[in-house]
Amino acid sequence: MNLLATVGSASILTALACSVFALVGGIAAGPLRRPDLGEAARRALVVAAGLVTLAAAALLTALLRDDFSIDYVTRVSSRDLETPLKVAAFYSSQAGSLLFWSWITALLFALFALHTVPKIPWGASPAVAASGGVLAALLIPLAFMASPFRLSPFATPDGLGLNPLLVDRGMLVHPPMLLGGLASTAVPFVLGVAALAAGRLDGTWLRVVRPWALGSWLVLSIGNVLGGWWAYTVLGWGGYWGWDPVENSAILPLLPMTAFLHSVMIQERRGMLKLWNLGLAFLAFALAVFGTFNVRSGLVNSVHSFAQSSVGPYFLVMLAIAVVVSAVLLFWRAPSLRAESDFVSLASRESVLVVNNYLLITMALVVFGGTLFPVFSELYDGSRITVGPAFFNEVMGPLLLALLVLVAVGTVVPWRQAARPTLLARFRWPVLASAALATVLFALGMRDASALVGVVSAFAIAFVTAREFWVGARASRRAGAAHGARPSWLAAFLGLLDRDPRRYGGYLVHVALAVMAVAVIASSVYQQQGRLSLSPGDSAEFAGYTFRYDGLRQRQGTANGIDADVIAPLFVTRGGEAVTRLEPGRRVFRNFPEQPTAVVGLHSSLTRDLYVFIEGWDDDQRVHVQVFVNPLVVWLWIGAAMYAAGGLIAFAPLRAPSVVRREVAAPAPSRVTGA
Amino acid sequence: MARVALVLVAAGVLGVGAFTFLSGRGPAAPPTLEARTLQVEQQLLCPQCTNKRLDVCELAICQDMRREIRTRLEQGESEAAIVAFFSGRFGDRVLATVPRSGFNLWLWGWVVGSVVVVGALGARWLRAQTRRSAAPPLVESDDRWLDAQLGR
Repeated sequence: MNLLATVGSASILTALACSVFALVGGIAAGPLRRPDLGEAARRALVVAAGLVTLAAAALLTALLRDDFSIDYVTRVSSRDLETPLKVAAFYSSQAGSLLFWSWITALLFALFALHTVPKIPWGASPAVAASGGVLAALLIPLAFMASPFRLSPFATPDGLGLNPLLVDRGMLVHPPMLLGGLASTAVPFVLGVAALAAGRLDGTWLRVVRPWALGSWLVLSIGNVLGGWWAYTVLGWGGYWGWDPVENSAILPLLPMTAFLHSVMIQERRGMLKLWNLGLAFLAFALAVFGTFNVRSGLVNSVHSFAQSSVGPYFLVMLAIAVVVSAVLLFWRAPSLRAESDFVSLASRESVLVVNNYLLITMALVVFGGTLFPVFSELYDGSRITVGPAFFNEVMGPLLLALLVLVAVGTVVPWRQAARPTLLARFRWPVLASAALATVLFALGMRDASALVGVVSAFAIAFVTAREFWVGARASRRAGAAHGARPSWLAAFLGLLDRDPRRYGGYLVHVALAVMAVAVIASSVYQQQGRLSLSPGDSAEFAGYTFRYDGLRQRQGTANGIDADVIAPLFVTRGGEAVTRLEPGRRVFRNFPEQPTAVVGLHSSLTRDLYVFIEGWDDDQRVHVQVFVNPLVVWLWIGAAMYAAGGLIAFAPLRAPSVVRREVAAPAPSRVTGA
Repeated sequence: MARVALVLVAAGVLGVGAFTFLSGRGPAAPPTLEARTLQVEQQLLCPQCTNKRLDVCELAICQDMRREIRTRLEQGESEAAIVAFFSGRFGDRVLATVPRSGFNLWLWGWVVGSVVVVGALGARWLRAQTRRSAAPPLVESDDRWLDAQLGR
């Protein structure tokens, strides 16, 4: 008997029992008028989290101890794997990643049960029941279909090792963030279920759900960016986003979640879009489950996907149940979800936010359709078409550009209604400045229309946001001066973030989006790609750089299953001055000789990345090198850091109502009701 | 005036930055055989990998395909003919761009449908919400006027 496997399996089974109890107890507590049953169900969620944590600890211990009597450990780890990568091996394959997902979900539900449920007595029982249902649904495949605690059929002295593509320290952050982000979509879902079941459809549930939705959105966003960073630095194809089916699955829940965070503002202020907002929260969760099904079913081919298994169809059933439950609840409560007020004018921020939702949901539909189309193509005539970056760039490009324009417009347009003079005053300078920049860029030779629109829109976002900060800080300084203590500009600026973190944190996210957009445009439209074939002692030029190659070097692997790295050192100069020494190569693994991986040579600067990998070499050590000059890529990562910072600031609770600046709006007509 | 100057300075700084960036690219060189080979490769995908363009795939089959492309270009074959050759050999799955024909038109239909249908529904809803508020509820003076009319 293997103690770790026994403890792990027993923990999962017991956690499953606790989850089912939470589900049943949560449902029964109300009709039976047994609040003690509801309380027991809530506590069962916490116990389940402890048990899944125990199971996770058992698997982690087995990995760290090289316990190859457990089949999963044999398949994903080896004795020479470094400790951090043994930790990453935890979620590197089907069963382990399911356990990790369930573990994160269980921990989130425990936090939810301890922190949030006591604050929502109106919906505690249904929230606990829904949480129990979701957790049970995740634990069932772990208990009966894809247990990571199955014992090996025969004893092995060493394991197979980690998948070569995953032998990278980035695995310590990218998958946990992404899986955590996907798992966290469950909390807004259960809160929506609770709100509908309890009939509390006013602003109460919004106040409760917002931090959870914001956290989910933030973690999902960071996870997706980290995925791009991993692809860029590890996969060796010169880019960071390939519209791979699994990448698409990861970004799909992010789109409705982003839409949700924007449209809840309309519900908060005007009591509108109640049905829509609930639908968005449900859609984000459904798409997260769809992604799980997509990755684990073998439905689509991807470099990320796990082997085909019975788990895939199971998640399709789970998806169907989630959709049906959501639809039934929404239909049941639809009469209570009517808007409390109307739009006063189309020229309002509410309208812009509705268009924002339109664009985000259209994007989700396009990505969803493009991801699944190969399946339908194969069903139609037996041949599977590839829907790749060319298609997605073509159709998503205009939508993303429209979204950029909308971000700038939405920052300028006031809530409720704007008189024409107000609009003219607000738009005058951003439009003039943007037009001036567009003219300058065009005169300088920027002829690509999408690049021009994108860069100018990004500038407009930065311009209008800077103006918002400037106006707010100026008002703070004036207010301070009136009380005899005028703050410095920096203090006034930081005071804005402190006073209204949600608004100004959101603005920072918008600026970050603009920075990232410029980086994406520059690195895709103005990317330079070339191929060099070099014999030892040769030099060649590309894009103003000179590459000198002296011959192949071999480094024997010492850990992580690496047999050897074959390196082609390149000395790079520009204008006679040394720039860097790059070491692109190929990495060969002992147990996966047919799966060599790329070793990317990368030199980053604020203006451009020099990105090199080798395609192969001849017997006479002649190497074939791919060279990319990717402008401004580093700003994608800087923008992502700004994005995360803005999201974290927005996460902070409001300290006081924003009094810095009131929206300039036309007088509200007497007929308007609501917020 | 200060604002105008600030805006112009900002635009000028960005313009100079863009100029520096763009001028670094240099004039476009005439397409060499290598560049043409790369152009064809970028239109094709690896037949064995998923979503990996031919030009960045290191598999042996892709190296063979690249050699074949170069040979055919040297022989004067057009880029379109070479792409068609590989499409005929491996199927449409090696095409980097989805052909706009046959069953694939459904994909484009889905895109257009998503944009149009969601847009139409959104626009209709937005107009309905705004139009509804266009009919103002009665205010006090209206009530008095109505009472007076009914009392006649």
